[in-house]
Amino acid sequence: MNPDVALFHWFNQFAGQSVWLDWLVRALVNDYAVPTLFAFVIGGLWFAGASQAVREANQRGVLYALLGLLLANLVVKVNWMLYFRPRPFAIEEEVKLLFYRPAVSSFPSEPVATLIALATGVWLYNRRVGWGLLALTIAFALARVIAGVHYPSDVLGGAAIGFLATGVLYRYVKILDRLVALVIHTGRQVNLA
Amino acid sequence: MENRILFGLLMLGEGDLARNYILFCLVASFGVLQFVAGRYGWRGMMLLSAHLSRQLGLALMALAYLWFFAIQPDLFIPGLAGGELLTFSLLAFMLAFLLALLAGFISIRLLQRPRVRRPPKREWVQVGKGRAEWWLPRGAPTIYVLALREIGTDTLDVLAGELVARSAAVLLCESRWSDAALAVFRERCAQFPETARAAVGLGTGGDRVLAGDMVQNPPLSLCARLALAPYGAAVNRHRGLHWLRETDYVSAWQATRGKWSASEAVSGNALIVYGDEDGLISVAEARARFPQAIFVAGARHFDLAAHPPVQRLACELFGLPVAVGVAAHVPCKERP
Repeated sequence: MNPDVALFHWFNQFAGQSVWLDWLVRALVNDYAVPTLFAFVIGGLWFAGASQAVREANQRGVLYALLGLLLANLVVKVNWMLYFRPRPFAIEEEVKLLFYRPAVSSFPSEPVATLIALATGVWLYNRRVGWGLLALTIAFALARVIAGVHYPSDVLGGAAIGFLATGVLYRYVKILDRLVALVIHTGRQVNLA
Repeated sequence: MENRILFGLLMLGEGDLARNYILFCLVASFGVLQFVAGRYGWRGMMLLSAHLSRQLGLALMALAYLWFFAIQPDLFIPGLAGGELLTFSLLAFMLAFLLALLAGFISIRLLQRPRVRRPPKREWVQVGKGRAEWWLPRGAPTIYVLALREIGTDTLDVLAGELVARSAAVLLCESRWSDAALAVFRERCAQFPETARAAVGLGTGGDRVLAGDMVQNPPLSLCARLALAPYGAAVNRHRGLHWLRETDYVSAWQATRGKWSASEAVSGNALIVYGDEDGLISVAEARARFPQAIFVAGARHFDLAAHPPVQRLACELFGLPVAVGVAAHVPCKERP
């Protein structure tokens, strides 16, 4: 058996075994809990920091996170146009499903790509919060596999896209540094940064 | 049936999903902002004290999540897509931010506003494009005081009211009209040459009080000058979020838009006072600039004039009684 499929079944076996685990998986995997929590953390991070230097670092993290999110989503959408992978519940046998049946391609996982892009942007400038968001994303990604919505390679692929999207923008697209500085400068002119 | 808005670009989902989601994001975002405001001291965004704001923030976030997941049973069927989630949460966050600024405004301007003693008599005088007010005591004043407010704020009025209650006559105006106000002040003082004169200013007003040209061209004899939290260097007044540590957004906007220039070196008999919790000027910066400055424990920038120790200092400096209704002990004499 394909290792990816074997690993999927290994994770999916935990679905339906325990009421509490099912509840936790559903709490993590739905479209509203974790993504919205990310939005709140990132929104709050803009205003966090005892000194201007720390605040500016956090604000840079927020902006790179948002830029990475845009690029990651674009890459995922292009991927979907080029390659469609059926979901595990569509082709595998004995899949325990704890979620609804998304119709879009299974690979790569767009929610994971988005969350990893955001978490990476934050991590670049604020390690503590960044590690927290990354840990939450890992839990989210695992929940997606356990719930029967993705193969492990889907979430790994999404994670790679998200990480690279933000990383490449940060490391190689130098003009973005000026754009980020301009946004922060403009924010300061209206006493919001 | 799907409901769509904005030329079909956004989907509202089934039933009240979109409305409930926006409400959920609004309440939780407001909670996040209250928590962050309490944690980092953004008074301009806090409804309550720092400690209570943190607790309120956590409570609102928890309640928002509990409410949304309790009343929305259909979270495991296709609902809002990524675009809708992003748009609605962004809109809700922006609205929550405006509400937080409003909360700070209400808290600072209404709930925490210090009581100002209104003078028995007031006269308004046009000074350039602005307006100054003469606050006059009952009976003849024992001293004339020029009081220069920080641009965009009126917290110096608290001190002005206390001085008037102790028989001072105070000309109160914003520091950006100080040149015109100084002319009015000189004219009144010239009519009563025997009466002592002094000056007090807060923030930009403090910088103006310290400026050398205050007492020159023509010479103006001031028995005392009191500079409350002068900035000293332009870098301390740059625009930024740090203003929300001290005041509401509207005052911050007004204060940072007014024209101002850094003060020259201290000249003459000025007393400089800072609050040790000033959110705009650090104690280290203030000490480096003005080693002789006095620091008042527990005082911030804008509420410095309302602190009793500062009011006592002002009264002693200007030769006024510390308690209202008591005759002055020592008339204001020029400090060495």
